[in-house]
Amino acid sequence: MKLSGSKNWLDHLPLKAHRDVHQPISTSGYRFLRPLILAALYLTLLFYIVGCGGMSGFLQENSAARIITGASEKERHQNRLLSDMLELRAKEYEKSGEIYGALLCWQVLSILNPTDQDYAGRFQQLKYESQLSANRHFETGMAYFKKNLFKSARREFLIALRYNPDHPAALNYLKNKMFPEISDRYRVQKGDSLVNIAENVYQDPNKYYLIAVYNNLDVDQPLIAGKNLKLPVLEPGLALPLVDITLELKNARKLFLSQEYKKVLQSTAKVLSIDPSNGEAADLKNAALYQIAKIFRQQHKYLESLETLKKLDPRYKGVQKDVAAVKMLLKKQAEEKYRIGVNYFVNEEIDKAIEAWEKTLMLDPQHPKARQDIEKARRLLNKLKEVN
Amino acid sequence: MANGRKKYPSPVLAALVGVLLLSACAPSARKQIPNKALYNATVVTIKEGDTLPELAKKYLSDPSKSWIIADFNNQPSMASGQQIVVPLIPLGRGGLKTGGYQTVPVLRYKKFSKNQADPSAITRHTFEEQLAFLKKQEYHVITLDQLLDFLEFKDQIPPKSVAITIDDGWDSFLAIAYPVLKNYRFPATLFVQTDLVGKKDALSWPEIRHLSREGIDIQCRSKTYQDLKTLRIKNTFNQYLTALDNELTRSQADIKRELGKNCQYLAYPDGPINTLLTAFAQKHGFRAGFMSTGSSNPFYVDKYRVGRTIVSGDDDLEKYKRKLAIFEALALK
Repeated sequence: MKLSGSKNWLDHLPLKAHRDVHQPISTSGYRFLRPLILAALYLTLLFYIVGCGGMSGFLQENSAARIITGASEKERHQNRLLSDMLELRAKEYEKSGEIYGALLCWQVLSILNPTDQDYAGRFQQLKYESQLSANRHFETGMAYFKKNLFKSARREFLIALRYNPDHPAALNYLKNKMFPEISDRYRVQKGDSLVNIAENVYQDPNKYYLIAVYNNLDVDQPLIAGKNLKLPVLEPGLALPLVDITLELKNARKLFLSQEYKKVLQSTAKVLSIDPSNGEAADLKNAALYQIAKIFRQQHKYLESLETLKKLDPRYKGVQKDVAAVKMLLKKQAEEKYRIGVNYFVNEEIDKAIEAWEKTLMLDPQHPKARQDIEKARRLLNKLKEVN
Repeated sequence: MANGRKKYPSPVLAALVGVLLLSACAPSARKQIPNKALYNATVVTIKEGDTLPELAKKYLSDPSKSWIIADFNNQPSMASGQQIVVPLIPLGRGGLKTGGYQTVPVLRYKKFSKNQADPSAITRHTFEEQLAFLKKQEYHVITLDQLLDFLEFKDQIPPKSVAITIDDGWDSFLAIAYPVLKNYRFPATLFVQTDLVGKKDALSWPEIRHLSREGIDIQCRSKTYQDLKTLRIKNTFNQYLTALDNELTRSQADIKRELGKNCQYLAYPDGPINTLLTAFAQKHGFRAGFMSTGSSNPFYVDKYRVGRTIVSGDDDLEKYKRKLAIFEALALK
């Protein structure tokens, strides 16, 4: 467990820091000046690193120390009040799990009361325990993450951050690893073109334009090897080639002229799936369905023809007339089947008679006799079975 | 160079050191204490006339952070001679507690009307009632900059924080909502759909400039009024990309031209968001993208998919209260 590696303010407990930052600078001649200049440069660097805040903090600390040593009774009283408040707050923060609030209270208390080792001890203990807990929960979160249990992983990372808000890995996982990446980097290789990159990355050469727009590239200019590109990561639905409606409709018209009506249906379905109100696609679909129904009718497949006609927009030109005509043909076909059934019945082939009448009902569910005759035939069959 | 050592003129070096020392001590060098600061708090003795916003301005560089001092010291006001602690580092980033974590509702308004309510228009009375509720219940209305500092885990915000956004740029905002906002001194962001500017019932550029000068944060809400689904289905893929790019770049350019400011935040047009859109928002340098729908946001939300809570004209105060979700309960121990 790495406890002290993280770069956070917990690692910079400054209780006694920088008491000697004021160094006198002598200017008595260049010979003596050089080491002083070096010292001054060092100090300057130090100032840059800690900022003058380090100095003001130092002054604040001295002023706090002065309160303790007792410039006045009033100041000692104020200090006691402040310490009481901070102790109360520290406990409240610990109870609500706000570790940084609690740590700050214990830290300030230890500065205000340098002779009381309990405060410094509590600070160190809480700091140690919270870092330990943060690391433990992060590890648990990682185990969940690797199993794709993201909800549980997120909870563990949140706990890790509650214990140590400067836990960079927990924050990174919460903020960056739980969401889809927005873009990937790609370094252009010798011989690369936008089209072949698009084909390799998106499995769709047409996505060349996406790469060009996203990287502000001129599609007519060759790519320079070594150039870094950003490639947007497309979610699954978008990664599939998006239907180009204009092209798809052109294709559907061509298929219709070559009488490939089933393919017309597939093509128009693509367009209508993303633009349900597309009128041309709807017209082509209806026209294709009408032709398919017509072909079924020519093949005497009246049931299939009727089913296809029912898929058509009822307002489509001539469709109601065709439905009526096919229904008539179905009745005719049903009547023929019925007669075949009667012949079987007369010849005492009752099973075959029932089968023929059932087909009759399929063709004309409203047939006046078939249903009744099937019932009679079944009763007769049952009686025969009883007699035998 | 005879002895191989270069001699530096001492006055030049002394001057250089002096300048460096002075610049190192410049007050601007330490306005805010970063996480790595050696000192995390300062003890202050209250003087006669000191106020919390003044102390917050002096020590935290932001008077609106007075709540941090009040919260840490557990006292809403201070007496002269009293000692208090000013925390110089953010203590509550993410609003994480053992019982859960903070969430921030980003309220989304569109149109306002004087009297007549409908789902997309809030009456002046209702808006006033809502803001009065926020004030009375001590909600803090924060800016989008503050929200992003919270979402990026850079800074803490008050536990009861909420942001107010208004879409499109209808003129009813200036006539009805803005005076109410001004009265309560609440910050708000207006996402301008730039092709709408100057049209019937919409704000004009002089009006938008006026609002910007008055402190309303003006940001981008695309150029045209096409929703994202229409944009996608009515175009070929390549046309869709170009249109998407244009929606963002042109609205940014319009606002830059008219207001001289760079937009940091984008309110996506209506319709489903996809990764391509968020990628384009990032490409154009937006710090965050706001969706048209959604709920309150925890800090870990994808900042290119920040949810917004729609405030409807049909909402009564009870419904409005339920929309102000500021905490998500979850055992974090």
